[in-house]
Amino acid sequence: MGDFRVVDSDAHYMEGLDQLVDYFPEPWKTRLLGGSKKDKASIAGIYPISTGDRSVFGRIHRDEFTEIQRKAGGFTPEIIPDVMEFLGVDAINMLSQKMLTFSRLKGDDERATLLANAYTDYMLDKVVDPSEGIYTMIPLPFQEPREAVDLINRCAGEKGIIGGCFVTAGPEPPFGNRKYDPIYEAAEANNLPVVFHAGGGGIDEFVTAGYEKFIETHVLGFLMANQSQITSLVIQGVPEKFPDLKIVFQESGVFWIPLMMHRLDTEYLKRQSEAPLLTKKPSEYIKEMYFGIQPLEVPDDLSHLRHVIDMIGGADRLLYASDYPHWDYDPPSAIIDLPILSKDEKQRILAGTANEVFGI
Amino acid sequence: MTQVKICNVAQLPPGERKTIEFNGMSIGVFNIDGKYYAALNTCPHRGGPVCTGRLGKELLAEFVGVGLRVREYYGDSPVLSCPWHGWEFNLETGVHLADSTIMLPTYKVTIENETIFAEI
Repeated sequence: MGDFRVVDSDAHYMEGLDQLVDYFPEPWKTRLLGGSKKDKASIAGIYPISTGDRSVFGRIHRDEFTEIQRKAGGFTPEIIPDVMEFLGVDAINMLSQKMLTFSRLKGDDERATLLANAYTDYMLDKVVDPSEGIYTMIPLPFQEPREAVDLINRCAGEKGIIGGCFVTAGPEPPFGNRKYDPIYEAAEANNLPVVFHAGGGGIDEFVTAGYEKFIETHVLGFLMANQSQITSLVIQGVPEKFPDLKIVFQESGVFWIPLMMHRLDTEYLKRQSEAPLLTKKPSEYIKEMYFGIQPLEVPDDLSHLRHVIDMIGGADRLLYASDYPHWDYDPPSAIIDLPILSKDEKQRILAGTANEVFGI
Repeated sequence: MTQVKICNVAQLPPGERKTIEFNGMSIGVFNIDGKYYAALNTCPHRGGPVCTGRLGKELLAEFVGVGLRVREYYGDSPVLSCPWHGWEFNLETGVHLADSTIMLPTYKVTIENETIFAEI
């Protein structure tokens, strides 16, 4: 876009179950087809979403996205170049839409493993195309770590696979627990970055039930999901156990990061014996992680944003991420138009960090 | 540097500690298994009486294997914990266990003619 190369580190592939059904094993394929060939009510509930109207009851709409899909006859892999052209990005990392529901799969958690495998196979078969800058990440089924390891070992070597992705809402215990060690070990061994991505599934009830508006559950839910996981990862010493593992957090903006750094440091000074694996302060581990910028908070006084970026280690820590086509997506201009960043810093955020993390 | 007399060795047997006043400062002196230590009795955090705090060892941990519980164990160095907020210091070096840039002043302890001195 203009003078910049742009890599979108987080857009969403809005896969429907009708697209994935051929990649499910039996008996699930028959179950899905028995419900409906379309991704409608009878089978959509297999991967439940949260309540709340993302469009603010019609106020937000994606006319260009609707038109792109209309020309293609629906949401198909063929629309991705048009989406990239609309966004003005040279490469795009598409994340499964349905994996965002993983946090709500409390009972029959086989569904997470099934979707993770079907989505990955479908994307490799029909969608990803490194020659066109189209990539995806393996959805990591945290409910079944052994299955996640098998999926990583099976697919991490594919050129179109550039990461493994956890949805941060809902895992019990949280992601610092040793039960997830095998996943981190496999990701590290395969040089596969692990992306911790906030998600809407379960935000209605996972902290405190009873919020009345989506703005409440979204502001808090996405944030608190990421806060809970970064706390668990750092205090349980995941970066010490797996020092070559690249860790990315996405979709909570950037202002939360210094909050966690300083809050964790303050308590670590008083309770370091509860984090005996650590060899440095929590903030120092966080400054070795990477963060998607979206949804970027833009205060009236931009010097405050500048301070936040400096506090977390500068532009080197940040990845441009659109979250398109979701309701609160950020176009590349969110970075390009910021007067507080140098040209080099903008290029770093727009593509340089993605190159360092994902190799694209 | 001043050689400050603390007490006779008989007055500070192993396992005991005492605090003295010197030039307006409170100093804690410890006998841990026959080894003597001295430190400023003012925590660099909020000024708490750190030398009245718990004496113990540093809790360490080892990653022993993927998926296994981390093995926790105690190191050898004596550790002093401030009772106000739990800031912990290596009593041999004065270094905060969580941040090596934070120091509790410590003082060299010598014995001459059965008398304990601290170099303050």
